[in-house]
Amino acid sequence: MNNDLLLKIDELKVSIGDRNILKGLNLEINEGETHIIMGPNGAGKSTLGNVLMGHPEYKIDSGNIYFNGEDINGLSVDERAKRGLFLSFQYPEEISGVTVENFLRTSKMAVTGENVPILEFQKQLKEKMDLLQIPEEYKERYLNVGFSGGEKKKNEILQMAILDPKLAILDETDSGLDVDAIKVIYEGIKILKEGKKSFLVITHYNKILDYLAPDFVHILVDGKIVETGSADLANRIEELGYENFKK
Amino acid sequence: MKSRKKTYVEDIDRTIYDISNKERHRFATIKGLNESIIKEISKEKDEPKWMLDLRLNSLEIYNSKPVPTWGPNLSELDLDNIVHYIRPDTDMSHSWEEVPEDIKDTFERLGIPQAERESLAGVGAQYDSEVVYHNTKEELTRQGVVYLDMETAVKEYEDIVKKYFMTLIPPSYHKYAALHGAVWSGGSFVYVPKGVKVDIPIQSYFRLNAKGAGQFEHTLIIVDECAELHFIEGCSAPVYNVQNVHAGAVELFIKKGAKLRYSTIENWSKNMYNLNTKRALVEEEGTIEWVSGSFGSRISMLYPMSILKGRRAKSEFTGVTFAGEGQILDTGAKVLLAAPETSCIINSKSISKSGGVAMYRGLLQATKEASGAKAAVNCESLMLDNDSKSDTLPIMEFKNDNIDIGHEAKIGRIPDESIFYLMSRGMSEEEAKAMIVRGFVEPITKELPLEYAVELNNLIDIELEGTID
Amino acid sequence: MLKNYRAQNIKEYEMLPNPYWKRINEEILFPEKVLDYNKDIIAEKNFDNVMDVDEELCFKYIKYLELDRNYGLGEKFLRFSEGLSNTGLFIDIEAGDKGNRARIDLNIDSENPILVDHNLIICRENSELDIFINYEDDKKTNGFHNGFTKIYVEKGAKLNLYKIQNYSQEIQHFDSSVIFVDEDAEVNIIDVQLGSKLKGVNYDVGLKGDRSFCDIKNVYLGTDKDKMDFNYDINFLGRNSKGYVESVGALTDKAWKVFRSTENFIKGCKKSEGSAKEYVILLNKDVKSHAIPALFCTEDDVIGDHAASAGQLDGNKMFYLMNRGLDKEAAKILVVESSFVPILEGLPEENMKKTIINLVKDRLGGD
Repeated sequence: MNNDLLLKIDELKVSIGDRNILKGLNLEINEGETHIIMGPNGAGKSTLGNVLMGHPEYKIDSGNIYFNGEDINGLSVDERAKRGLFLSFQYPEEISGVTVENFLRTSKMAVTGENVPILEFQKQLKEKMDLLQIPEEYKERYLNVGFSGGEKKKNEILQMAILDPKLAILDETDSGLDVDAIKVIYEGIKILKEGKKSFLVITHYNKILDYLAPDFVHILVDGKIVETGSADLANRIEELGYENFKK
Repeated sequence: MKSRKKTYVEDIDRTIYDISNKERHRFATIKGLNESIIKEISKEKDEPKWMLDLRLNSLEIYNSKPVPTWGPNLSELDLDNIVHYIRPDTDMSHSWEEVPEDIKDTFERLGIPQAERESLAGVGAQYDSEVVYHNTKEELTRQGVVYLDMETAVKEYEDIVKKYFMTLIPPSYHKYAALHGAVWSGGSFVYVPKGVKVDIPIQSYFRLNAKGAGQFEHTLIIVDECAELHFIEGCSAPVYNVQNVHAGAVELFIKKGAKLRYSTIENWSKNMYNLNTKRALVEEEGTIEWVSGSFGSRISMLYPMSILKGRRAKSEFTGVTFAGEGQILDTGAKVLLAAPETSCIINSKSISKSGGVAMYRGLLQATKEASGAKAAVNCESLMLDNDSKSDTLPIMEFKNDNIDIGHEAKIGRIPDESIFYLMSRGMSEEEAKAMIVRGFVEPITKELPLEYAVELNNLIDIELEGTID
Repeated sequence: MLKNYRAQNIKEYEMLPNPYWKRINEEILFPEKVLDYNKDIIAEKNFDNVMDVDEELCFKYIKYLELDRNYGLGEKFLRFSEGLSNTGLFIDIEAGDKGNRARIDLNIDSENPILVDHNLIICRENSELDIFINYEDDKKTNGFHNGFTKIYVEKGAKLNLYKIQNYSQEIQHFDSSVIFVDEDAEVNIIDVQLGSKLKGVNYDVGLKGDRSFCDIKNVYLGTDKDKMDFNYDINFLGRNSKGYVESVGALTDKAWKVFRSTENFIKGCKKSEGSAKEYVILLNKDVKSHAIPALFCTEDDVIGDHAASAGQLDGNKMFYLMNRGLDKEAAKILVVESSFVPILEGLPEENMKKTIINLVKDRLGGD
């Protein structure tokens, strides 16, 4: 196991409006690790993803988030992306008039701060699209417009593959998909999970364990991580339900 | 109870000002604009008598019609100096120094060559597009296409011009059509013979013509049976002029089976009243496609109209309007479905920011003859801040049951979630908004030749600068 | 005071010219003389606070009665009801009072050919009121109805209003409602317009309070030479306010309809949401249909949309039904019925829905 600390969340308290959602959350992720967060509806799973990415609607009341040793609380969303954070959205936005290719190349240049030659980019794009079994004509389609649920999720993973983040947060990437689509997505993630890339996977579905060997599984209940364990913990949830993890 | 202002909705209705009311509605004749001036213009242009008569008749109508009150407020439009605009010998030159800074700045950022800048700003020598023009013309001549400036056409093709000129937009149509009839100058004449498909877009070079020609230019295009043409009017760099009214007229005749695409990118300087009139008459199985971008002017009232006269005639309208600070852009489309199985598609997008007012005003009519007609209308409005105003007023009138008509409209701002999504992929807020706005207007940019599309996107970037909190 | 109030309005009324409705090419003629109306309009009610208008009441409620003259179908209609009404109701539901219900008949017969009502409904804080209004006539009297209702739904209150207008072709029908909706208050309206040769129906809604809500549903039928002008005007003022208009109609013979809706989002009405939908089925080549769905917006943080469509009966549906043995007329009526049903489902009583559907059948099948 690699010991370089990538993400450290320290006693994080977060609210939306007058509702407290995260109530003192602690988490550490090292480079190359895969963490899974499970929990019942309303526990704050998606909030965690959004707040790590800097969604303006979520207010950090106290606590800190360190990424690569840097306190990122004050950073804007794009700054976080540039530092290597990536959030795969549960409900990706539809952006009319912007093609997938144009969007991805613009993003790639924004994240890397470098010009990306078009031919080189197209080669890379084709490679990743093949990997995820996305037909080539999708690069000419408008971003997520008219995409099915599965296509949207694949598109999120494609973006992840192109942008090559240090930490990818996958928020319910498997929700609402049929078994075949889940398989393609997780096979894709498995191949992309190389080198020192870390994953934080938010899910309520332990099928993921068939594809990704997590280093840690965390149970999030009512804004706090109540238990941390190995892959085995996910199986126990399957049997016992979340009730037993509530205080 | 608290009183309030009733939202007062006025239709596009010009017919109520009938010419027969002229005695009652008589307005003071515009200072300086009189019969002798008109005669002088006509003489200068060495026109046939029928044209002089048309001008004089138009002048009379102009003087008899009141300023329309159903749209933006035109009371500040000062036509007292109209004669100053149209007299051929009027000295209108001004210097480069007088050109407003924002316009010079826009030229700079759009990368417009200096010679063209000076031409667009109305100073210095006219931009030398002669070479381009002549090369285009040679190619067209080979195909039998007639492409002339309007004054020359009146002389060389008098019979054709006489048959069509201001028949589709008669001087009685509205006050500014009458003004146009009286003082028109410059413009383009195109005739595409039967079956000829012109494969390069023709671009208007009205600025090559007589002084002030950009003000009251007349465009007359006849696309004969089964012929095809793409005509591009204007350009995306700001056209600056000390004169502040534009009342051009565009008459398009699309014959049986013919097709015309008429593209306009209008970016008049922001002191301009743009009161242009455009109409197309489409015969059996003919097609008119309007691609229209409105960016400039202080006030615009522009509603290109398609009259679908022949069976299965079609109209497609794609328009984008971008209203910024101090601008009232009242634009839209009118379609008359007047024959069986005629159809139209209208896609309108508008953007307003910094206090700009964008209004879609549309009129869709189906006559008794329009059995089997179809229409789909879609209007989307994007408000980039809370100081702006965005209105949609579509009017639909049907006198036939055998029709299939759908209209949809949406209004709102860029969703915060969309901005968050794009920013999470590394784009700054400004880049994210610009990308969404560019995507919003994509339906029009994709219809334009590449160089126009690029300029249009640059223009949007310029317009968007400084809109981010 | 009442006398003065009425006299002043009569004076204003008389000075105003008859409205000319350009779109349906009709000058609206008002009756020369307003006779007494001697029918009791309350058919049923389970609460007491309904009052006949007198001096004292007029004084007490004057601030609710005085409206901007631009409201409703037009000033002439407003002044006519204010100055010359021959019946009307003042309903004032106390704060917190729930379960109130009234059934009102606005009927016309040869003894009472002219009906001019002027109404005021106030639902105080957190109260609830359901009102059912029926419009019927004896089918042989050339009659005239003008109604003007001013409605105030205060904080947290809820008003349900159901109107079923089933006049014969002998009657001209004009109805204006002006509704102010306060914070957290809710108004639901189902307005069924089946008859009358010439009708104008107008709703002006002011969603004044935060989280105010209004839902207006309308079905209409146009037969013979009916002319009709519907206007739904929703003004969004409060934050998080919601306003919806949905209209479904069918036109046959030489009926002529104008539908207008205006969603007016006024700066400050953040997070508000509005939509207006109109769908008209055209059943005869001689019908005329105008639609003007306007959307005005000076607040960017809103979601507003409108949709309007017009067309013949759905060919696939017709084919399907005729395939099942229905003749064309029967299939036609069934398709119209099926378009009306989703709106009629909102009526609180099943038999109301059935009654209306039978009336629609009668009117469509009767020619």
